[in-house]
Amino acid sequence: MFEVFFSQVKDKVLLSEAEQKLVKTFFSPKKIRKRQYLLQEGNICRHLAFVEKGLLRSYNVDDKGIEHMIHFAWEGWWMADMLSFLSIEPSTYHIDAIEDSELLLISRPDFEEMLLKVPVMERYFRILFQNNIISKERRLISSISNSAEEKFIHLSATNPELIKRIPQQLVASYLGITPETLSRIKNKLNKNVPNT
Amino acid sequence: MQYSNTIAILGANSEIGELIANKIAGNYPLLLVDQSEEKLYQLKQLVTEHHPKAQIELAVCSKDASWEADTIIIAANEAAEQASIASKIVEVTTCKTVIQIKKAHLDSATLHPMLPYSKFIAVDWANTTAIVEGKDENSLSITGEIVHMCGLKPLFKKSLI
Repeated sequence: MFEVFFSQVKDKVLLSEAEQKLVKTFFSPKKIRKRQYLLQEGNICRHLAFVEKGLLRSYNVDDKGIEHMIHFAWEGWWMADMLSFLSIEPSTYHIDAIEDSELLLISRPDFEEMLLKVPVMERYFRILFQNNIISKERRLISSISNSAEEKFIHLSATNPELIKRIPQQLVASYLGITPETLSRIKNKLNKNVPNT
Repeated sequence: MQYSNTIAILGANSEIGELIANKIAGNYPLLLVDQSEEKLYQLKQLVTEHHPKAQIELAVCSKDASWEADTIIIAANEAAEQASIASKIVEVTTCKTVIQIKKAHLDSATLHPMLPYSKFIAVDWANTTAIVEGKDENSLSITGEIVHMCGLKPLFKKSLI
């Protein structure tokens, strides 16, 4: 139940057996089914979710009813609307499950208490938040300065798992392009691959 | 996250389990859990007659259902059965509201020591009132709401443990 979580934490910080035991008491294990919501627009995001198994997506829906993918999270990744979680304001996102998923949820009060009682987890989250800022900066730069093809090539290089695992129409939405454009780019790139 | 508060009723075929299922269906997504699938199916049919839009799933595994649920009600008739259920769900109830239903005649010990990391609430279920005892404010409030829907008056007792 905590295998992926502790494996991911141990990549960044060292936790003693006693600390691991204590950390477990702050998380609520939760199974959700495919298409089930974790968060709906207008509600406050009250938990951070760690994905032990499965796949989640966050997205918003525009006035025309079109979904815009913001983030995906699978095994070893976190998911939340951080703006809503930290500011306690209603979220502008939806979060739901693309696959049946097993999660570990932590509420804001439990999160704060855990950081106090297990200071090494504060370091873990600092590293996580730093990486998150870097990743968001890169995505922002890519979205304003790269062509559709460059965006796809960049995503394929930095996050091949996303391309493999996520349905293509959702990948297109994540890149801010139409599924038809994505299909054309993939066909073009496939033709350019030399035969071996 | 903010999602529908899914409630698992463990021991759903007991007298109180059936009553709770009937009264709260339609307000919460329900997971009805007991050993007899046939009786569970009959209960689901009965409940959906009154609440056609109720979201109800059936399960025979207490652990899986509690893993999926946000709030867990242990409504089994016998004390030994309740203790057996508690031993199975301990791993998946951390930080979740767990409500133990204790009938007046039932000489059952509190299950709290078996579920130390849950937000544990004990309910002494009588004919017209129910004493609702626990520490967590939100869990007390949810339990009070459920008791009220069942037609009983909740009497809150804030415990320090």
